[in-house]
Amino acid sequence: MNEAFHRAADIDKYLGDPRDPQARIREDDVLSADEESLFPAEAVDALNDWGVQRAYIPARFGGELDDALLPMLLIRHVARRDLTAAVAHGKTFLGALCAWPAGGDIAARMASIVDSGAAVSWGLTEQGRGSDLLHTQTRVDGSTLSGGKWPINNATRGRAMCVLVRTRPEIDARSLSLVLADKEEIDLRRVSYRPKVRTHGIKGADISGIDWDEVPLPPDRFVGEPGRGFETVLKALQITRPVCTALSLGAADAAVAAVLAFTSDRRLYGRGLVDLPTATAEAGAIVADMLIAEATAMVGARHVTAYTEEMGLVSALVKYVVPATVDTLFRNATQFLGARSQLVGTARAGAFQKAARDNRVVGIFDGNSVVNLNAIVNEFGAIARGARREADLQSLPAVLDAGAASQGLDFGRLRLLTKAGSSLLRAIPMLASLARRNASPDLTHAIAVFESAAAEVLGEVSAAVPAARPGAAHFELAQLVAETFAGACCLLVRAHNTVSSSLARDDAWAAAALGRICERLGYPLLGTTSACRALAGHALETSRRGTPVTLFEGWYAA
Amino acid sequence: MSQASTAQIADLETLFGDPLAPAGELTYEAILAADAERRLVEAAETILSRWGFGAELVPERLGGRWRSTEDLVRRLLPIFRRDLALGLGHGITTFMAAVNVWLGGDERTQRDLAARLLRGNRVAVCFHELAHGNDLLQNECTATLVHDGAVRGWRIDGTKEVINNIDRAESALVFARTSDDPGPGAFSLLLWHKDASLSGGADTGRRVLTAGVRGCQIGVVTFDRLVVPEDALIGSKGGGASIALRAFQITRAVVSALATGTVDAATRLAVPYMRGRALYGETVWDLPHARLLLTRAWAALLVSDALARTAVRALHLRPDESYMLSAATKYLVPKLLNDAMHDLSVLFGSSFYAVTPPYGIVEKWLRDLTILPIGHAGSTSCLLSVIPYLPTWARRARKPAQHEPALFSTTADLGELPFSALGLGVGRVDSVTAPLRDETITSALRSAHPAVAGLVDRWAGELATLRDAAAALGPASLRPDATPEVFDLARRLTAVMAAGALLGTWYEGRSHATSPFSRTPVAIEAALLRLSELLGPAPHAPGAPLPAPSRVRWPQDVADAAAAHIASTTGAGLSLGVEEVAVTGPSRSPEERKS
Amino acid sequence: MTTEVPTVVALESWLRDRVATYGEVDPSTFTEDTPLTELGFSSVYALTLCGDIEDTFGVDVEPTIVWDNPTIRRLAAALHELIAEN
Repeated sequence: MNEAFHRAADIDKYLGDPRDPQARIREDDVLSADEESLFPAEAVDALNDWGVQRAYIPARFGGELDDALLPMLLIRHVARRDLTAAVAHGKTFLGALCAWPAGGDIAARMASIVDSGAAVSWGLTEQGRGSDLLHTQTRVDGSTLSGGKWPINNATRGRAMCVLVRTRPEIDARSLSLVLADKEEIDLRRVSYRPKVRTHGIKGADISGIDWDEVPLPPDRFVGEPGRGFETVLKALQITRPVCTALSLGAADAAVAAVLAFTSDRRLYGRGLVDLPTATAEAGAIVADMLIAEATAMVGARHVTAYTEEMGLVSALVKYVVPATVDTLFRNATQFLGARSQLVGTARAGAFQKAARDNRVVGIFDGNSVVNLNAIVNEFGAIARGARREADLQSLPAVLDAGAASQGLDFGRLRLLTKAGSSLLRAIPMLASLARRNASPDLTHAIAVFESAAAEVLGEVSAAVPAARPGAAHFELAQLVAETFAGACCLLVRAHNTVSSSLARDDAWAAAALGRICERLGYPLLGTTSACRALAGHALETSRRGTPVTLFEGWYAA
Repeated sequence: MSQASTAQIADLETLFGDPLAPAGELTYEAILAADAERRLVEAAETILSRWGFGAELVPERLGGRWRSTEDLVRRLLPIFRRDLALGLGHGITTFMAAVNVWLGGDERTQRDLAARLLRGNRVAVCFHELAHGNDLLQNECTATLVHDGAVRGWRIDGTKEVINNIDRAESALVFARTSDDPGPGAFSLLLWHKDASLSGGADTGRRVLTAGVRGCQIGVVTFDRLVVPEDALIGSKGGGASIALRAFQITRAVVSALATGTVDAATRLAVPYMRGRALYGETVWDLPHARLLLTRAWAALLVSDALARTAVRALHLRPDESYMLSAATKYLVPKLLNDAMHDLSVLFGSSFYAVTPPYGIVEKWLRDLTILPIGHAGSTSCLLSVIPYLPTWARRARKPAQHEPALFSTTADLGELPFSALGLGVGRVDSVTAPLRDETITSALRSAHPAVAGLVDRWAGELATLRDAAAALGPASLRPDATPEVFDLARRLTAVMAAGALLGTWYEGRSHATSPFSRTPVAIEAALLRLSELLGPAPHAPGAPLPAPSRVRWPQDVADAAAAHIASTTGAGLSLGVEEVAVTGPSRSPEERKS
Repeated sequence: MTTEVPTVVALESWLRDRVATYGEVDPSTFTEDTPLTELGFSSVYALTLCGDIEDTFGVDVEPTIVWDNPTIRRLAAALHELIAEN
């Protein structure tokens, strides 16, 4: 088992059970802070005391980061309890990331800021320009910083910001650079702030803005070479996007816990919900979606070190499909819980409605689905190219296994475009035959249909005519490719998982998960409903024992 | 419009005004500010009171304004186009209570309630107990006949939870158990006027906070030896469930039709947003995928509106069929509307997430609409209403049914609602699916729109398949513990009914100036494509050959034509839905206004 | 896929054709020295172009080659060098 799992189990123990008054993050406090839109300062302090920030710093700069799994698992544990705190603290991972490929003094400087527990923001967007980064107006002339960034997480309370600035007037991809604006070394009289943006979810977060009025920066504060800002940001997003799926997983953990508690306790029409086949099938479907999201997030995270060159495609696939799956999960869970999904101030119910509102942010920050689907469409050619080539995929299951040791993170291997699409997608036939070993009839059926459906989707990609402006058909196909990727992640976890939980060792989860994916690909299967019912049974048992519902063991406190 | 009287009642669109105007009482800004403080916009409630909202809930024969239910919907839609919480919180829940009295109360009780409503009083509707959800027959709240000397009354014991307006309402309609017998005959309805209690009281002060409709004052009532007069009983002892089940038919249809107003407004708001938002040197409007999302939302709205308005008209024209139709409507319409809001929220991206007008209003609308499938008749309970009737429906649906133009027509002359004609059966025939079985209608559609001819055939086929499957069900499979497969049949039936309603509405709408079906050929195509997304292929069995995928494909030209229609309708100051009528809405983005 | 190294002129011609197709612009309205960004040749097209280059000439390129050589003339020269190296 890799070190990331041990560290994750440790923080879970440290943070404690949210219902316990002695816990470091307590559910009652989380809900009342949210109701008042208060910043979760105590929770963030607790995270700094434990040292979560060390997971944002690469080992060679004195930290613990050597793959995406560690920050992801830590952020998941926080997000399960309070997504606001996860966003507030985890934002520093994003803000600091661009310094690591730059290396040298700037990386050492950044490492020291992060290690101290201070927050570092990522200053990309500007008012009126959204994610249109190429038109950035904030600029550095010589070493004077002018302009403003908005809306930015931790802009006000954070100590430093990695800012995307214009260093040449032309509107092109080489006109932008990154600089470090550290409040401890600039003239604060020339700095002003824009007020907190009130949001419907993550209400306590400091989402605000900052303006610099010709602020002189100390020398050597460029992060990376001038002119390379845009390229660096695009590559950094390939890592931040898979790590941010931890937020979706944390939210999903909260939803599933509420659904299972309700299923156990609720009586309706004279019997327990567990005795109503439709209700258990619905609960099982919610659990299945959770596990699809988890498998995809974890396998996606492993890609960061194992298939770094493919992250341009994989990060878009994962950033689209994990939040989309969890959004569906929340809509179904809201229906399932009925009135209880709405209530604030009743223990578990309150946690659900907060998680539901908080979760909606995940799908939209750092690239919403339109942007990600566009990126997938741009890779159709590469995917088609890969389909035409032979590849040696024998080692794929082992390197993408969640429990495997990390191979180390090499930013230099990141590319803007893949050469040949995704190895995982190409490995589907191989994974299907591995996954079929000792499979139940329902699971065998699901694997067979998934394999055919996947081949069809990839065939359509190969046949897709490149268009100057991709239309609806291309976007729909991109969605199908993302669902296919999620299915491939499930196949992989089923076929090869050295850290499997007891839930993972049974066939029901895979039959339910693949069944739901087949349905999304246009092929509903007969056996999916009964697989969902069986999965609900396993999940209820797991939660009665106090363990989280998960495909992996060892990352949580026993 | 069918009645001259409608023209004499002021249009709320005019009274409320433009929600984006810099100075206005019911602006998006005011709505969001109030929502953040968990209250409704006071000025709006004042406007509604002065407008005589209470009179809308009272039938004409009792001195109110309610004659045609479709006109009632039309008059109240402006509220729902701005703030669903205002609609529910100001008085739709009163409507839900009052309907029971119009159905089952005696003349004296009706006249008394009418007078109170005309004065602007509210009635809270107390069915819900948190432990039992929509399973009314498990309710524990009781009413016992007691006497103090010669005076007889009902003592109410127990608690009702998650009740809108329970504290500020002057009256409450309580659903309580009045005997220990098993079955529905054990429940009765009691109308409690707080100024007319005999003794005891009730604690209504505890507020329950909710994630959606935050401005509504939702609370808990704990009865503390409250005794109400004997004549508080509505209808007969033990008649409560029967009255309620008929009342639900009215409210399920009406609430569904009103909810379309919110998605209408959100879809129209997307237009200035998309036009004003720059992205990579173009606007969001220029992105084909964005236009597709907009189109899907509009198409879901069209299907929902067609079904809901049909259900509303059926209350007048086919009351014997309303039991099934209203349940089907209340299942499918909230689902489609919520899906539409989801598509729109993807479109709005991060700008909808902030609590800032104007676009921050969309997230509030999304949260408010979420309660619709949960509300007074949750989706599962709607399906459970349909399930026991599946085999009977199958037989009825084989009987020939004449196409009834008025049922699908926005120009139908509806008259007063025949309350006593509402029942608890399947109906004599199935009028809603009649268009699917009518060769004149289906061939007209196929020849006018060959691109979707195949979809029409698939729906006709689905109807036939469902009839056979439903006919084969035995009574043992129709209980609340029905299998997921049976629930699935019920779901499919709601979609087939929507297909019938859509076809009928198209057929009649082609000759109405306000109908999108007369204004653009893409309306029926988009609506059918969207509805057909619900028509999955049969689940695949092991060993069977894999069929070709039957996913619905949206042609880009349909998305583009639909988007153009949405934009021009919005720009012309008209609403979206099966009737495109003048509204006071924001048709220009804040950016456009500044220039 | 070609096996011999195309001339710079041949590459310029191929690029003109690609640019005209993606940008949906009339080839007579630009020259080899027109900045590509002026032709509506957005970053999206740069990505697609890379795929076409790989398919046609068998060399692996990143969009950064377009960013560093933002006219047809410069891009053709850079491509020529790259193909010759391989």
